[in-house]
Amino acid sequence: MSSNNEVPKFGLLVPSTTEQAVSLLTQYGGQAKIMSGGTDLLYTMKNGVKYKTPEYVVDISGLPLNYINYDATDGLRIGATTPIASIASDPNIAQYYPVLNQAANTVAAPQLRNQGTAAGDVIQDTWCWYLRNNYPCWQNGGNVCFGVLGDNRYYQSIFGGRLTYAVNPGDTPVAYFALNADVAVQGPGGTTNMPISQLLPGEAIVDGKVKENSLQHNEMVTEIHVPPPPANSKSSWYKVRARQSFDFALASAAVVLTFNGSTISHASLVLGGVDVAPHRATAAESYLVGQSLTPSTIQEAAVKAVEGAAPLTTGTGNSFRVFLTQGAVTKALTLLS
Amino acid sequence: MSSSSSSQSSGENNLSTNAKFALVGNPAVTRRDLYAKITGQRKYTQDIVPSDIGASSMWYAGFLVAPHPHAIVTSIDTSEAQNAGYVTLVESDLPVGSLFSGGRAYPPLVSGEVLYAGQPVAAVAAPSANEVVDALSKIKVEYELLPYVFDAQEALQADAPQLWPGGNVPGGGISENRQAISAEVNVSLGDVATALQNSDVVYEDTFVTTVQQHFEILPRGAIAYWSGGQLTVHATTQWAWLVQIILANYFAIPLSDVIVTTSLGGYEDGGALGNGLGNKTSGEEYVLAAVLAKKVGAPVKFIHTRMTHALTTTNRWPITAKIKLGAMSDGTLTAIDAVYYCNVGGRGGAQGSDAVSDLYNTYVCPNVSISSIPVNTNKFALGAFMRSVGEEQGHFIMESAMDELAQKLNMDPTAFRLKNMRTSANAVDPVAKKPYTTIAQPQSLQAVMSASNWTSKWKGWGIPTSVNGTKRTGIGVSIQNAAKGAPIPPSTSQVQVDPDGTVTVYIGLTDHGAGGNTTFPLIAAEALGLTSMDNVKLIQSDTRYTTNSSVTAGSQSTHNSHSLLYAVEDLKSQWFPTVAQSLGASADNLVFGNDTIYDKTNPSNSISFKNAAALLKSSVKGFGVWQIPEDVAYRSTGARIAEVEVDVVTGEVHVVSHSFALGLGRTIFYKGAMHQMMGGSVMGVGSAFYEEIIPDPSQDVTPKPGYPTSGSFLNPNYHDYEIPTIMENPDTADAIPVQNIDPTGPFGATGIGENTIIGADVTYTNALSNALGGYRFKKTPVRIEDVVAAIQAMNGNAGAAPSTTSSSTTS
Repeated sequence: MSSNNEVPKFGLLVPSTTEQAVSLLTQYGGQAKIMSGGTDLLYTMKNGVKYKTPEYVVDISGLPLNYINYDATDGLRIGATTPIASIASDPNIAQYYPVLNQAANTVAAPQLRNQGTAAGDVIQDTWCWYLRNNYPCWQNGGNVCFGVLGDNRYYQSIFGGRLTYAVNPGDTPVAYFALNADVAVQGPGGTTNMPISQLLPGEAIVDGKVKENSLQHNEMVTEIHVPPPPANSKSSWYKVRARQSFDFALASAAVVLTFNGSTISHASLVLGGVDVAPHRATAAESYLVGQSLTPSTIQEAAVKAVEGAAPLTTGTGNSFRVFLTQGAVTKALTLLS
Repeated sequence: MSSSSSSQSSGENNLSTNAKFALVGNPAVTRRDLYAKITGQRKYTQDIVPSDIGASSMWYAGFLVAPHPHAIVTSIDTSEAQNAGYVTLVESDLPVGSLFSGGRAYPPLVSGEVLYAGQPVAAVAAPSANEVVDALSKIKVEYELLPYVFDAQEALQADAPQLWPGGNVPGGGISENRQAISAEVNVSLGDVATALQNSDVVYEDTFVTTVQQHFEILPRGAIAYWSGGQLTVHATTQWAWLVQIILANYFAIPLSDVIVTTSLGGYEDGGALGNGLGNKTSGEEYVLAAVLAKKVGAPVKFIHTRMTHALTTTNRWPITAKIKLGAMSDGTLTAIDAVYYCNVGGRGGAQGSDAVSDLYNTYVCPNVSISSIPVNTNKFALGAFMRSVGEEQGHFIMESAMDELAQKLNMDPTAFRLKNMRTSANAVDPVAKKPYTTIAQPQSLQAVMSASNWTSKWKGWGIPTSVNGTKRTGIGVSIQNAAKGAPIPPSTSQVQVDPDGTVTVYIGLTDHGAGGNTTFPLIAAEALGLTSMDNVKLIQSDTRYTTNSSVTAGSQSTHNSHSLLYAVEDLKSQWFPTVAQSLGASADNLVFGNDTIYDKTNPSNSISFKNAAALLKSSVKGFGVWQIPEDVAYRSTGARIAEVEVDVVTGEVHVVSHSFALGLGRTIFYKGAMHQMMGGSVMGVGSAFYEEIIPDPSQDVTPKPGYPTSGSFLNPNYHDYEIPTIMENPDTADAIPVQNIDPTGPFGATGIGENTIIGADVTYTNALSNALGGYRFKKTPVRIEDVVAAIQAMNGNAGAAPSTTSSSTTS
């Protein structure tokens, strides 16, 4: 067992265009990783997490991808290297996408929001402490998810898993799911647009490795696009965490509701921090359509939101997060009532 | 030289409560090193580069630590690392000798049997910091795994894995008759069995506390280099003088050939420690850095990584306590019967007496039987020094149990404590039979009751003070009566005056974060009658220039700087004859005051301090010795009341208010003392709700060679070892100094440092219990899943508890 506070030696590659970045990723064939804010990559490198430590780092922070553009017809476009702090303070996002504004404001702590970037928050690795402590788990080149039989209180799914039970830790991706965002992915063959759910399938096997996102080694996210908010819609966010800063979500809820008068005509409800990917609570969505928000419908929606929950009963167990998930849904819906 | 071992000091004339001071207790005095630290100018050990120590290069060292809690090292192969040009160390490369660090004697590198995951097995040095990882990866170690035990009571079983020859109880073997075990602490007063039989109310339960680590900003470490036969070590240490002794003994060289400083030492950099909470008194890295430096032939820097620091240094050990209390229906406490099982880790020694003495000192009780049993386990390294050694745990257990007893009596918890606590009326340790030097009861409890408006807020057991939608607020109380760190006499120091009026204070203590950088010069300046510290320099924690002033620990450094007053007395004897001649007065009648020296029989006959200094042909230096009296009890007394809000839908908790009164004797550095009280209260938020070293339970199901690849703790980082952030601070906090003079301290002061954390956690958990229908939390920390369990229990008994559950969400 070893770890050191110093980052091990690596080759630094600084492309001047996204095409060049992709070309470098292709050239180094899986031995290179993208870095923008570096808040996560450098940490894993310092701690010697084997399968996350590249020989080359492709620094894209200088590419012209730091922008937020809002247009009533086109919606919102956020460049990959835009700091989370910019998302958190953008007036258009605050006005038209409260759920994203609020989610961005609960990401980690101020320093990390200043440094961390839009695309980085979407494709960051799980914070599962078995991976972070370099256990030979699925995501680290091994063949077991230690969380299943170990301490799974905070970082394992309550909705089951397959190869890995580690939850997606992000906050803004949950909001993007609720807002039906899509992402632009640049690869050797050009740019592909895909729904964010396709980028974050929960677990994907890429180049024979278990990953949380479906990016190939020579692909990068360049932009996140959010459609214009539906007319008469409101959105909200609640993140349950032990400390009111720095911590990942123990459970979070992103809600976008469209109203006809006080009656809900469309509901989008996505849970964060409780599944291997942001988790769409379809039963609660169906239930909410046709209802108005009252304490009792909110309570019923919270119960339906955790339908299908299968908290782990092995190891420490994590059923308390079912309670917290209901709490997050209750809070987020109450904010709109 | 002037010295004394009596409780009366040279400052005795200043002990009256109406004495006038310029600097002592003056709220305008701010930390002297504030600007330098905030702006990053202060150079910590981590910051030292070769040019700072007159070197052209430096090597960097790291530890390879064992990944298994209990194992035999069967082979270590360092050849690959050596072939790559790195310098390696294993146990057989080391000089013969062992270290003693508040526990069992041990070698700095494991020599066969690994007792805890994280025990250093090998060390390497590399020519650059970022090659250390590579060097460590080139050392191959094979282990034979052994059965391990994490739980103290399990470790006492006859078939438990044995960690040490003679058994798992330090200082003795396992015996059914635990009275025979020497390392235990056993206290007996009166007749507990009869008293419990005759009690109207009996309460009995088991409480559990957890392992905590310091997580100081700067981990422990050192830079070592040799010059001829002389060794210099710049260490992150609270006691340079102990490190000097350890190194001299280890290398069998004279003390004078070992120089130890905190960081660069000398002027105020000697206070650049990066915080010390008890685990920076000694450590194997000082020895290993020195051995590596000799082998490399260049300075070697070793600073623990966050992970190895968490794994290998001292911890707050967990206690499992079985406690039984008896009382009469009028609320009189009649019996205390308790057994504390103290898990002191792989190489911890005898510990636990402070938690015991706190119990029988806090409450006046004629019938007491308490045993404390230290037990070695494979759970962590060393249960030893961490801020309030054993006492935070002991107070959690005591004040949780006393709350439950008061509830059984249906008595207001403040009334129960006022009735049973030790006060100035009976301020004697009932076992040691020693009188307290000072006691701040009942004033402390009365002060926090007043500050918190307790009487109007307390609505009864299990009834919140307020309910607002899904948020419920409860209120809780605790009292404190805590032992201070063991006095390690004597303390010595020096005060010098130059002909230009500059004063230099030489003290072996350091500033471990509590404000010593200000307190030490402040005491000397006040004694010299100065109204400002502008011309007072400080040289601290540097064996080249200072003498041993005892340890900066145990809430003792203010007490230990008492020797400065004797140094000033010695200075006077050298200086005043000259001044007397100039003033035409008797030297015996001269006193310092208001930046002058004057004749107390004729105050207008005076000379300014600066002009008096100018009479000197060369600098004068006074030497002071102070011996802490042993015939008295040094105890810290205080009380707290806090309000805690909990959201019954999300389990999130928040401390709303905290009132804390503590006996300080006379306050010396006022702002520093207040900040200590606030800081301790915030640290207590961590103890109550967050901080816990979490061992990996999945080891239990797959113990295979080579697994796990990384330590036994899952959270050796600042993210998962959760210390409170600014968001977790109480919304409001009152720090109330109760200034009952301690005649043994300088100007009547008494130290408070670590006492500021004691009892904070249990005050918060008592308040949370009050918010959640009286649900009793029997372990620390109360993490969010425990809060959820309490909410679910309360909701299950909704008929008994006041309303507002998740169903009554308001919008």
